[in-house]
Amino acid sequence: MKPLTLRRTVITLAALSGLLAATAVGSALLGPEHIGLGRAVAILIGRDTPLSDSDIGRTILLHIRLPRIVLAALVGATLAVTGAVLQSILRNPLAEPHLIGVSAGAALGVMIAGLVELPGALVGLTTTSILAFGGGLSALIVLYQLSKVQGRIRPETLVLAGVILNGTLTAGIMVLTTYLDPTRFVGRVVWLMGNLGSLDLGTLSVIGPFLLAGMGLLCLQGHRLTVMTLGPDTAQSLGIRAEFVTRAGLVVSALLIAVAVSVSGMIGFVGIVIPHILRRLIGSDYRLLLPASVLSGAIFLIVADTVARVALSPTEVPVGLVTALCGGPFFLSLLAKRRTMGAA
Amino acid sequence: MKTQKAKDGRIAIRPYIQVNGMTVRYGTTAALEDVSVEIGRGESVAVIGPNGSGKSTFLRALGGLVRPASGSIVLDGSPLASRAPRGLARLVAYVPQDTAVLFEFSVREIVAMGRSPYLSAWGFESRDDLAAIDDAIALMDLGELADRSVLEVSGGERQRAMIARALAQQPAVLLLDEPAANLDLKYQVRLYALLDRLTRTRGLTTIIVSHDLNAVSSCDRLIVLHDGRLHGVGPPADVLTETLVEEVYGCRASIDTHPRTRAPRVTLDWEKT
Repeated sequence: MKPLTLRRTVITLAALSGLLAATAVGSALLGPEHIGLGRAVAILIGRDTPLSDSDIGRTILLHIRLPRIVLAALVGATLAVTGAVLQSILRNPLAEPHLIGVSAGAALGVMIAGLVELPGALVGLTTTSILAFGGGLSALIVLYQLSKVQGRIRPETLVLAGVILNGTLTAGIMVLTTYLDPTRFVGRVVWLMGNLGSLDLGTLSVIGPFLLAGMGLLCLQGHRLTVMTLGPDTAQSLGIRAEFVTRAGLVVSALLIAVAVSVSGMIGFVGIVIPHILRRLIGSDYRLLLPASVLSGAIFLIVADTVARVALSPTEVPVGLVTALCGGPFFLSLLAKRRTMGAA
Repeated sequence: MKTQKAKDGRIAIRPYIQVNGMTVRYGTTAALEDVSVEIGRGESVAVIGPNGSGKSTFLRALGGLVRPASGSIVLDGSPLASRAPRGLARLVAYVPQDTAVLFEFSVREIVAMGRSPYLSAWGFESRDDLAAIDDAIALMDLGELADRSVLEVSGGERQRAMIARALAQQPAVLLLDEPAANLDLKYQVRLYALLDRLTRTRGLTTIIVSHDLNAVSSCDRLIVLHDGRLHGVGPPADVLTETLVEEVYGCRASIDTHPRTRAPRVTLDWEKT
């Protein structure tokens, strides 16, 4: 890969932004209720003549499809960019958002919410989201304490602690499911497999700015995270506060992951597939890789969610299954191609 | 000239690096204990000693990568600990022994990372940066490999890329941990010749950790570490003796003078058991 230049960065990001816009529009028009491009534009700019049946289209577009597309974009972007960040600070190409146990903590929160069934909502957030976020946060605190060796975060210890935490919390989820009555159990499990359809606008308006701000913060660390892939010692010798970047990267990523999981369940593969595909296409320089992951993760999850709701319409497939079913084989084919090309 | 200057292990001018009573601990075990040494500007110094003697720790401490539990390091008149990481990185470059790379970067991208302390957070390389990168690539003879993936080149070529990365930092002090370990004979000779040239032409101070006593016998001075303590400092001709090898490394060697370079020549007595 040629060295990164400002010109290549701008062109790549502009192209991906265009693709994201096109994907969002395409997804908004697709579905059981057909909405033409002309009418969609009319509805959006408020020039739609309110007829009796057009109100349905209007409601579907503005209150069902658009929030769902925005949520898919936010969650996909979050998973992809945090995957890329974790791969650098943990020095592990297999690192992904759900590896470190924070997601399982959030999922456990969701299960607890399903058991106690607290009513009501707080600052536009449902109790489920709040408990999920609390679960993720608790997992992060445990993880952080476990990974500190002589006052430093050790990547190897962190990966190990994350995997074990993940396993323990998943077992906890399984234990809780035995207390859940069968009808609610199925609902919760399907939710855990990834669901972008259950969100209200209030929650979206709270988590949206939070996720965007967090992702913005991560994208600004592009150069530092490039150098961090060479290891903390080399990074430190190149003038980067390696320990700080590791801690900050971990905490910000984990908070974003906890929020994403609390509103969408555990959608797998986005966080590992997107950064790796991008590395093949645009190189490993994080100055471009991070913003490109944001845009590509958004595109990928919008497409996957559109497939999830359209493919077996009127039934819906959990979006996590779609990402696993298209992401997995695609990633494997990339690896296979790479092997035949002679690179390890 | 320089060897003469350092003949008695001391330098007439103010030392560029002063290590005063440095102790470094990992947990409760001391890796280095009460080490004091002075290094002059433009000097080439090698740190030798057996495994676990504290060589790499000594180098890491000079690079600001590990903080001494007690004692101090003064670099160019101000304490190392008081320098900001970016400022320090413009003065001191470090090449670790482990050159593993995680992702697919080209050799040129690796070398370009050496400009890190000169870039702004989201910045791109300036014309000066690109010139420094090209210069480092040329110095390490990597021109033909520049666009190859660093995962596809050989271990020695990757090591040269790492040294080029450190040179792109345009440091005043270059710290190298076993830099020749993966290099073939030609590049071992070339590396030491290049370092010698950079010391003379650019006033670069080089500190090399090595097990290859013959390779480092051309350095200005040797620092000998044993069990975390300073065992001796001085020009190779004074320090490298059969007694020292036996005391420090616990094996026998014959030492004579190289017929052409006049440097001490170490030949190990390979015992058959």
